[in-house]
Amino acid sequence: MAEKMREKILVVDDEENIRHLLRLAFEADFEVVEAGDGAEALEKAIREKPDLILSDIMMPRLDGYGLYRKIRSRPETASVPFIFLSAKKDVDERVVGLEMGADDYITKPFSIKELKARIRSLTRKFKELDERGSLKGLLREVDLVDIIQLVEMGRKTGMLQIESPLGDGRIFFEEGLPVFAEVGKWTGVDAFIVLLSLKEGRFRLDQQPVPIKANIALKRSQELLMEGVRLADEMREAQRHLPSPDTVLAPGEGIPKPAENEELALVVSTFEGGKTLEEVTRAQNLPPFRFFPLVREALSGGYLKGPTDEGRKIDLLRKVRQVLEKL
Amino acid sequence: MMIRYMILSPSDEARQTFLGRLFGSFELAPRGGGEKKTLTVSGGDLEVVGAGRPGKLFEIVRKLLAGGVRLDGILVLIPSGDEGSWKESRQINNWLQENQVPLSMKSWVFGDLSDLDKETARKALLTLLSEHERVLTE
Repeated sequence: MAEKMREKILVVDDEENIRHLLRLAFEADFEVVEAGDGAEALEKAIREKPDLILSDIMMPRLDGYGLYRKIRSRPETASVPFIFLSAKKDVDERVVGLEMGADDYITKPFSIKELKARIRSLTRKFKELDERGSLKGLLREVDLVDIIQLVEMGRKTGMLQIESPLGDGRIFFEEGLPVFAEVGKWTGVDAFIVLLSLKEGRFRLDQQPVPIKANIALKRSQELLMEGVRLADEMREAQRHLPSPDTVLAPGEGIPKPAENEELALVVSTFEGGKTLEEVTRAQNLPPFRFFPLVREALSGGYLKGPTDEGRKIDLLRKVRQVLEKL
Repeated sequence: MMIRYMILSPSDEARQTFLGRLFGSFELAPRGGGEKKTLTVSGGDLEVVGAGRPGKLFEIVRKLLAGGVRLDGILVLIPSGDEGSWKESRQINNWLQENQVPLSMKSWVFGDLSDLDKETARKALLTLLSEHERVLTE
């Protein structure tokens, strides 16, 4: 029986032990080709025609960003999915990776299991979109940023539908650019960014004409993606520092409302009389990526009064207990 | 917000078995300086650090606290028959009370490494957590 054709991955890293580790991890499932720097990788990408490139950033001769530019500028390699693999974990680097248009961005130290899952998912999605003209999946398995970049790279026109805990959302694309977005109470750029931050829900992408008037005007989607990823990170960071949703918050006594920041003042006033964070989150109209950082700012500035340190610790202990009991 | 518990034991193997069986993985500090595992939940982290050397349990705790390291609780794992570690555990407890250090502490004597199974490790950590909760709500 003929052996099934395996997908080929080009692993680019100047550290031999990392390449060795990746080869060990992937050779059972993929054909692995190695390169020690960007220049060697470019030669191998042209010769070997990999199905996906997994590249480090900091390398001698030609670094990961330089390699990415060259790969995308050559017709024979322009559509190969590209994942940056970097030791740099900070958000700025992640944003640079996205600005370049890389299809994914994974930081070291990485989980081989996670990396394998993302590689499988990305190569499958590329094929599915090419072959069937549509694709669907779960947001916990595929990042929406990947899908949007895939649409931009293929200059597709169509509709991305998202079912999420925040409600049903839609993004229309015209030749790869987002032209319309809506979800829940939000429309346009706000809706686009809210959708980008979703980690739970289902999506479906169909190629079709755009039957609706644009509410987003862009020349490239990369700026919006960068901004969206930055705001989503800020939102998650703010949420990490907030008390649990059932915590009652109220404006601080004797502290004037922040006059210089209208949105902050508005957020503080929505807690008038004492309301739970969950209650206000549902009732107010600011998109979550603006609302949660403002609540955090209001708490740290004393404009909102939260639970005591002991109260927050007890709350945290309860959550830790739940996690420990499920381990 | 972070809660930091210390697993204190003169036995490297005991600490690592405890953390490994309970959490599945942990980080090792360079040059055998101890272990660390961080569990992230919404609202903060639980950091569990492992440390200890035979005859140095009390000194380690005293130096860490004097150096400004914040600890919320200590779980002492004592090998059965290790009288020295048992005495040190009592010494730590007395010192914490004398100095009014608001820190929860539990000691647990184990026979051999097979006693440190996942379920028992979980119960031991939950006992420390309950003690911590009791101190906070008092």
